[in-house]
Amino acid sequence: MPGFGLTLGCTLTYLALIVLLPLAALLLKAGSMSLADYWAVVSGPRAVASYRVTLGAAALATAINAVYGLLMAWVLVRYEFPGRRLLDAVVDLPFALPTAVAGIALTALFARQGWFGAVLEPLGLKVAYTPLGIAIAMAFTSAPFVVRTVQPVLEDLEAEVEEGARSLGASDLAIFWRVILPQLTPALLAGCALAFARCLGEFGAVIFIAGNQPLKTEITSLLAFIRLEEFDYPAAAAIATVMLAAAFVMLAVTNVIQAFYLRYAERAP
Amino acid sequence: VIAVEHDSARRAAPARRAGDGPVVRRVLIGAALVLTLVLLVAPILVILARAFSGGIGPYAANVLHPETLHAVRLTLLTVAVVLPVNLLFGLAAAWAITRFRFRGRRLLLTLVELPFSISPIVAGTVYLFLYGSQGLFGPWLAEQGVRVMFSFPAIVLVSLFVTSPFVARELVTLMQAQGSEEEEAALTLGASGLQLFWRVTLPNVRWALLYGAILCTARTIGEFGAVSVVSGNVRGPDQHPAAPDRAALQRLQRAGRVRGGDDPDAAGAGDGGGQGVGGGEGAGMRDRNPFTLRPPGIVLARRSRITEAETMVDTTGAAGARRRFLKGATVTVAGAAAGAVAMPNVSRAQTAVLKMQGAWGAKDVFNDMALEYVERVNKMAGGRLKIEYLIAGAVVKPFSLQDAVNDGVLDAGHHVTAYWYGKHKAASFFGTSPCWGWNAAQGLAWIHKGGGKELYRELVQDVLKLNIVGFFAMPMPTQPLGWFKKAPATPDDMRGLKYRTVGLAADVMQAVGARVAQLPGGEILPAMERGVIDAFEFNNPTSDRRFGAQDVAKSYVMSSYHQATEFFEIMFNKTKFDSLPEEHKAILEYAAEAANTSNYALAMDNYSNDLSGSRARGR
Repeated sequence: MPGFGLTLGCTLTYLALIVLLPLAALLLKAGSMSLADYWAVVSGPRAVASYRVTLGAAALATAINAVYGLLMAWVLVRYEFPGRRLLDAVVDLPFALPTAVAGIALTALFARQGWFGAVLEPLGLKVAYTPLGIAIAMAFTSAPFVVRTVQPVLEDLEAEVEEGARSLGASDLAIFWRVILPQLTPALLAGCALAFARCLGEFGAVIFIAGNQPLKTEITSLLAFIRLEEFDYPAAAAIATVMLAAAFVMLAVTNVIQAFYLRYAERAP
Repeated sequence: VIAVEHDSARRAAPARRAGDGPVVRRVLIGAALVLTLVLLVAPILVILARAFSGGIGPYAANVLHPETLHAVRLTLLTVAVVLPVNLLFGLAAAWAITRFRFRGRRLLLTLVELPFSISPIVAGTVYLFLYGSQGLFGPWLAEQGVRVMFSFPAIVLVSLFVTSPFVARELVTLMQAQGSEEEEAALTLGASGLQLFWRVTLPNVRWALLYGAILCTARTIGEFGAVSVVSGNVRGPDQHPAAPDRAALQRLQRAGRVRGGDDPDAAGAGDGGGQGVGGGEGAGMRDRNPFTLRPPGIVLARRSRITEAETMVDTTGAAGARRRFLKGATVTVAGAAAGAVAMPNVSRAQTAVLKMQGAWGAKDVFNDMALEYVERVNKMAGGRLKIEYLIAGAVVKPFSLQDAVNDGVLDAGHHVTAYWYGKHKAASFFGTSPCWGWNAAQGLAWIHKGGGKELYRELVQDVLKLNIVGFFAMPMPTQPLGWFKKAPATPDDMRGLKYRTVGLAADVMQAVGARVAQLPGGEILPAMERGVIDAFEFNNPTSDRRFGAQDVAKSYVMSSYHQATEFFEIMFNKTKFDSLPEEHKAILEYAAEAANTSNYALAMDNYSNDLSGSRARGR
């Protein structure tokens, strides 16, 4: 096969210039701090509170997406109904919509005078300017991940296995829990990991709905942004390294899940 | 992973599969539709509803606004660069990864996907550290006369970073699934590399390529976080809801200037009505400026403040009335702006024009003081040298002034050294100092005659390596401790208090036990209203009054040691300054000394009146 040197060379050069070099600059910047200073920044109360807010909201958003994604994938693959193709297209909307627009729209919806806020707030459920709002914004921007990872796997499931289970007397629910879901789990987990990673880093959509109160509704990426604004570059670098580390962890998790999934896929004929 | 095989054949389904029961089917479809409607479609509808709420006319006016058009052009230009590059990268990466087995192949794939999971803010940050004025290559590039940050290349670079995995990821998934049999067959039939690519590979992957291209384009258009960091042109998330009228105010102010000199009261209409609406140091919104970089995401963020104003809680009773005023003012001001644009421009031939931005909002008395300096320069220079003055935020945020002047984005800036205290603590010698045993006038004397000037030059030019010269003016009287919801009786009451100050005072107050937030003036009011801070000091009774401190805090505490002296720092880009003739340099320097006197007189007049007025009114 031709073109190995050319394509690999281009790929590596591009990655080095666009991705790796800037990341190295970040590490260099963070490396200019003493260990004690670094620790003081990344373990300060405001930083820790922002991790808690970000992780909590991202976890909730991922949980929402796991349920929603599975449901959507199921409905899109298993059923024929009018508007199915439209529904299929709508799933990609969050990818196409600028995150800032999404944030503004969600804020408009969930604020006290908004369409949803007007209904929810009298019930005592405040969404805008609370951690719940952050989770909703994160769920919106990462919604397609789970659907799009589960969908192809669900499409490829063999009907024979289900039929086998049915002939052995399994109910629909039992078939779903014990036959279908186990086969979907790797894709579902991979999708969730991707969605979770995206949630951790989300900025544009979140800052509009979050209220951005330090210690309460301030996400980590906003804290890094604020430190930049204050010219506290080392502190911004330190917080950015924490987020970078989180990104690497999520990437490793995704890869492990994928590797597992690939092994499974290769075993299947 | 995100790849979808839309065309995956829906094979002749066997009689019945799990979940095919009519009830389950209906419930699940219904749930999916409702959830999609609520989660994904409603936000789109609300956007459309807002966009067209005023009918098609205002919508078209917004879309055709020069600022919007400029932003759209900038974005399309970015897409035009980013998309082809990432298409090529995606093809190369997918070919290398899926058609060959080599060591580190999985690692390479991971690297390609890396930007997916990196926060856009981190993406912007890393580029800032690479090309920013204090970055790895920044200083060297500046010497070569190349500016990357806060300019088009920066937007392209971060967009490349953020969108690089899209095409590659789509192609890798598909090409891995397809295998290389067809290409191998083509090779045995004697196809050349190019023929192979054009006639076998490309037709096979064209849909994935298209899908990747669409995702890449959408993300480039919509990217907000990363671009915010490197374009240096985004409003802080804590922007006061009333802020959009700032741009309008400024246009009005400019319109006034075009017609009749430098009268700051040209903005009078806005000033009176806008009392207490926020503002202060940093509330300025950017005016239309051909040099600013403002992709639609950011324009949108900015426009949305109006929406936000409506949806956010009305924190003060008068807010509704203010908003109505703002709407009226916006219309009037738009007319004024149109007039200003239509007016023939005064010839600028033979005139050196310096673009200066202040760190102050239009209503702040500090803005008047900056304008006094500008007026002195412009009158003394007799038309051969002219300073064009912009309020805070017109080009950059107040805290970014020094970088903007250093980078040559602006020629000059009017602010205080406390705003770059984060870069070097010695900045506090030139303002924001606690008691050194001298007052502000004596401090200025030290700067002029006691060696301060030389130390300042050394700090700015040698230590921080900035391309900046600066002068000082206006001995500010000792600053009050500030505005509190409940006046502190003892130093212990400061403990745990969320308090806004800047400069060395930030460290001092932290040592006292306060939780200090360093905010530009324009963000003080919203921060108070939302409980982000409990108390704050800004500077003086007049500035405080004008941005509405008395509306959010009851007690004004006077005596304090935290900031006994401060002066304005009037700075110029050194390259620009050095290029001027000697007499112009002298005018710029001596005008600072002249403004020193007039600023002080203005302060004494206003501060005392405002303070006794506050006392008389009881707040």
